[in-house]
Amino acid sequence: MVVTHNVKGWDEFSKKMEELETGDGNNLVHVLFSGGKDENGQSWCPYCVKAEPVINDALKKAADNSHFVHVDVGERSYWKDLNCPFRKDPNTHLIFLPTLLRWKSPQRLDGERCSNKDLVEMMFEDED
Amino acid sequence: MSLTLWNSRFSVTLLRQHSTIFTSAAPITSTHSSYYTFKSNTQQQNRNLTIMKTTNQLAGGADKGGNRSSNSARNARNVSQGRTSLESSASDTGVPPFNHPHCDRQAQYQQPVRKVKPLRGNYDYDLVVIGGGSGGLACAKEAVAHGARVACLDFVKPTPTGTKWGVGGTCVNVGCIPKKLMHQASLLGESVHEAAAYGWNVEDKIKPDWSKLVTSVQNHIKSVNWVTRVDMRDKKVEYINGLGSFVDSHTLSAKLKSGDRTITSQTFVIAVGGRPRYPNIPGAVEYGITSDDIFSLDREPGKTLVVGAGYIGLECAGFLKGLGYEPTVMVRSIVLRGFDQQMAGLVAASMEERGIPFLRKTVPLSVEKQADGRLLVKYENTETGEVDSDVFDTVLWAIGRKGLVDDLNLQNAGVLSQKDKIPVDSEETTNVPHIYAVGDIIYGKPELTPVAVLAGRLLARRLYADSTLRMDYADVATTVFTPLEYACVGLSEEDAVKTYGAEEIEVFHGYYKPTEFFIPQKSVRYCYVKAVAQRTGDQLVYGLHYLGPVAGEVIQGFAAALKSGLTIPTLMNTVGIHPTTAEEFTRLSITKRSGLDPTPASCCS
Repeated sequence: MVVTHNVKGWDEFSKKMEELETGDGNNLVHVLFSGGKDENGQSWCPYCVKAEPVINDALKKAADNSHFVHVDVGERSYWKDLNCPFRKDPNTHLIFLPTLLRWKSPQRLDGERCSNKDLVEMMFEDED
Repeated sequence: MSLTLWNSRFSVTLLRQHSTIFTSAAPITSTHSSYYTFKSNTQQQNRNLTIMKTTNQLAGGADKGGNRSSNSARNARNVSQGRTSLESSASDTGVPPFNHPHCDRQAQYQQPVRKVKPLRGNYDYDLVVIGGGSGGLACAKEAVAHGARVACLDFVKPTPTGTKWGVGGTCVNVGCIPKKLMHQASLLGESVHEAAAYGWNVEDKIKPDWSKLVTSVQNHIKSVNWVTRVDMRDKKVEYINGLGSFVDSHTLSAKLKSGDRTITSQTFVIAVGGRPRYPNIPGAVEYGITSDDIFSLDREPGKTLVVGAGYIGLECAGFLKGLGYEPTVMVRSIVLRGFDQQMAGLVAASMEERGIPFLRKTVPLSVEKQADGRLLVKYENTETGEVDSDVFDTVLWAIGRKGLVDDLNLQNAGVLSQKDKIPVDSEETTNVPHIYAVGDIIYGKPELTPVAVLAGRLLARRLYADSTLRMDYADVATTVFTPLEYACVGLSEEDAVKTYGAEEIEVFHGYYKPTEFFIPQKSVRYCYVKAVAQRTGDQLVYGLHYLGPVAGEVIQGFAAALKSGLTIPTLMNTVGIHPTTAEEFTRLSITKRSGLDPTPASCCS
């Protein structure tokens, strides 16, 4: 089974990644960045809403004991700020939400491609 | 590491945008934009034919091989390689017989494009593309966009030192892309030195970090590999990571990690490309590396012997020098074979000026590993017979590339090869009508990524869409990314002379001084442009040659002008952009024939 983590905001995210990098030695970490949800559980980011079920479903294909971190990036205004740390950090360097990536690896999908079942499964299964 | 990932992120985005631009037009807007493209291109081809006829009359008949476009450097050498079946059909249409179908545009366009319906036969696939490089991928994706069921095979055999790479072919993994990045790294070092003259306070000592450079370059390549895999999956091209060989003309056996798989297909496109050659001397394979290895080398190259003075050898020597290593170039006979030899001489001289020694008329005899791990290379001067030796950290073979026909079992499909290449006609068809070839594997055509891409895409459109447009291999612009770059389009001076005769050619030329070279006192000795043109009549421009900074960026636009029938009067009536180096083409006033001094008096004279 995949180990799932849910974090909110930059600080929680960077702490979690640090923890995972020094953690159980399983370095395969997939990260999904999506827009934050309001009190009704509604996200302001429509593509994130579309991607979420596809990704949750495809998680079955991810390697056993690999990690999946779902990051709630925050409110729309926070994300739209071009100095947002998720945009500025060289390891994330986000341009689109949602973005699904393999941590510190070339594999990365963004926008509408995150709700393409084929591509999302490919992300979790890719061995190169 | 962090910088690296930023880079890779950046490039993924850019690439994706590019691929969108490239591929989306076909399915969505085919009724409009594609139609327009085909139509306007056809007009262009007809226009060129008209120009050509005029030229022939002026040059005194068609017997000289006539048309300017079909006699480009590479084509001209291959006039004798032909396919008789097409010769006979050419004479049926009243066109003079010719030897090489794709060398004679007039005859080529007299023949209609063969239209077949290669879809939904009793095979696993409509199309199997062997080779996932630039040409193969472009062809596969375009074919899918027009409704074909397509699989694309890609397999990379590791080099003797164990280097291997992913999907995407030579350009992305071990060619244009890493080459351009290392060239850029080298230019940046130069820029830092120049920055001091421009008032930047730069630390005296800058030094390269080879391993960081290699990591950055390789991370970029891996991102591109990933984007390629995603793109294939997205566009429903089935990717098979296996080595294909023919069982018969409709059956392929693919060697996969998981065992063999037999695949049948109505149509095949061979796009397997090429790999570097090794010389047949002791120690070559054991101790030497090639361009397949250099971009991922896990140690600093150090003092490097680059054997071969084609564009690959010169580019490698150029960036190694710029990165602070000590390359030596060993030249058997001539520098930049196939290119304009005056320009080639200037390129070599500009490299020598930068401190890269050239061992001329020299061939390697052996490579031995010394006790200290360094490589002792013995070599011979072919003129004097004198044998000498030197010790290097790295020996890089850049003596040419070989087409990968051997693993294909072509004889099982009845496909003929010529040396290690596959001859094709003007529709990229081999001697077997349903087997095609594009890219570096085809005989006698420029080995360039954009050529393969366009040929592959046009082939797919002819096969699966309503197109009749054929690839035009003439007047393809290219750039050699040496420290001082060289770019050209059209004919070399010697090919123009060979084709039209020295009396019919006018060469305009001039040395120039890039504005930005003055302050850091960079050498302007080899900054030079020339235009090779028709001497009388319209004064058509046959070839343009440029040696200087950002050469590719300069020549690309002129390539479109040349393909549109550029003339010297048009060039002279074009207002330049000041101060640029490209504007030098609009200032060409001195002909070689005049004997006047082509060096400028001042920057703005």
